[in-house]
Amino acid sequence: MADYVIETQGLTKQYGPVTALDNLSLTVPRHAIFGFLGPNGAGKTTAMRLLLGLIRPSRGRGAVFGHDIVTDSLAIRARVGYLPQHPSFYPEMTPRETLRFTASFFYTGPQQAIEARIEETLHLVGLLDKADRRIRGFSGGERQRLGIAQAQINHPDLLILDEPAAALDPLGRRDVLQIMERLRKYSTIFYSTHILDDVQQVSDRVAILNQGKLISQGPIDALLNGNGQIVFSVTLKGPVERLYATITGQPWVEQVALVYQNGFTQWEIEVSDETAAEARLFRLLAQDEQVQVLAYGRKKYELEEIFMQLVEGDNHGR
Amino acid sequence: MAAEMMLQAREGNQWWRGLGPLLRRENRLWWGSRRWLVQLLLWTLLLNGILIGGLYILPPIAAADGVVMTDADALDMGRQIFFSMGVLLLAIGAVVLLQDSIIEEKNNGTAEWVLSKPVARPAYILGKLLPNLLGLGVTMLLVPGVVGYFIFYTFDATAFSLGGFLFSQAIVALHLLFYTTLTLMLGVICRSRAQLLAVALASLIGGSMVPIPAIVQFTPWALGNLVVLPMMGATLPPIAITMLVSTAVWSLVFIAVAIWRFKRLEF
Repeated sequence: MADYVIETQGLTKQYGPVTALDNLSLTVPRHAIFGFLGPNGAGKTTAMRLLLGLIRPSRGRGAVFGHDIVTDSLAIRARVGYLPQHPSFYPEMTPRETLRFTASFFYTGPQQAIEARIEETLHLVGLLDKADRRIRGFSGGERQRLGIAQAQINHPDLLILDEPAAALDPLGRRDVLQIMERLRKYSTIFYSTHILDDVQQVSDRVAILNQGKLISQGPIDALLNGNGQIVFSVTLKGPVERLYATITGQPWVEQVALVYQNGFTQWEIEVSDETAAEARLFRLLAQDEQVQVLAYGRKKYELEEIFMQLVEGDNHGR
Repeated sequence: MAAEMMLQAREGNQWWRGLGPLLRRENRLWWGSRRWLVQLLLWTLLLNGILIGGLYILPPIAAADGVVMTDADALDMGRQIFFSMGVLLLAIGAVVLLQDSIIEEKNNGTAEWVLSKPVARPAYILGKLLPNLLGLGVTMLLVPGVVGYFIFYTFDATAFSLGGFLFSQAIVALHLLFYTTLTLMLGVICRSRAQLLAVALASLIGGSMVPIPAIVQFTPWALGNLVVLPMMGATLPPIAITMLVSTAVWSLVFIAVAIWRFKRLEF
């Protein structure tokens, strides 16, 4: 279990007849930025709470840093920073006091050193100018920034962030992503989100959850390359009928889909033999002198596209 | 950077892990704001104001109405007011003050946040209990008690002993402990303030109306009738010992149940 920061096997959480999380088997390697995706109610928060010992599994097991999530939760929480989905702090405290309070659970030392760490953290999340204002009047975005600050005040080995950018404006979101990039040197980051653009920007691995079940997990590059399909995307100008016949006549071409036609023609050509396609497809396209090839390349999927396919496919399969 | 290196990680999986910061935070709620002053003035003025009324103001008023009230009558009334009413009022005060202490944090997500840190769950409960006992003890018992003692002493120093006064105060303290621990336990068990208040006030007000001595002897419900006896120099009846021991045991049970239940709560 120690090779992975997080490892779960068959982790299940039931609330009466409702299965919030169903048989989750997940591995999160060290120093990954692991995006945990899923529609609302998919079980993402439940999984995070299970990892932190805030709730107990109905079945299955899990470990964080090799510590069992049920029997050794204190040891786990000593090395983790957590941002809840709706962070709630003591309203009578200021951000500085909140960080001081949080830090005191993790370490001791000279006051000067602790204050320096707090100052550095406030600077990191852009709250220095509000450091001594009561939290009671904070906006959602300010609370979120403070949430991120308190989650990493202990320089945790693992950051668990539940929707870290949800309450933020575009600039705030950008800042959060930059903070996550900076922290990956020291920490593994396991975060849930429904903002797929963000995931595509910073994550190196993802897991997709739907209705409590894990429907896909792996490196984001593998996911973006599609489900094993080899698809080339080409944009053409000119009469393409003859070329269409040529291309579809190739034994290694599975299908040609027309995606767009408005003066230009855009095809998505699914092939069965990657080597043959790479060697011959462009030549075939270029040999028709009446047709100009404006764009040619291996199709890169958008995460949103993959996400929709997987989630909708899973919903129809139930 | 050098200063940063001086930071030392806290270690250990003890049941009291995290207690220190929680105690500091809860103590700060009491002593870092005007809360202590408000409570101290409230209870000192309320209890001693009524006492002064019974000892010094009521006799002349009664005399003006043609009712003779001796110093002994006034002292007797003062004792009843200060201790018997005090028992009830302080318990109500404790229930009202602590009703939100745990329920609000459970409901607004603060408890989830705190428990996501390396905090042992028993430490969370003790972090609520101990500072509140201190706060309630000082503002409801100690200061009003000292002032009350001097009022009694000034009125008639020969009519009571310090030991008797302290014993009566100890019974008030035990009663307060019962309702403090009961309220915290209910805070863990109940989902809403209404449930908590219903149970605590049913015990406090309805308990004294239970007509079955076999049950009452194992509760603090009749302590209000006995609390004044030590102050009067009277001997407590044997049943009082059962009541006092039962009240103390109940308080410990409430703490144990609160910890046990809180360890099983899900956030």
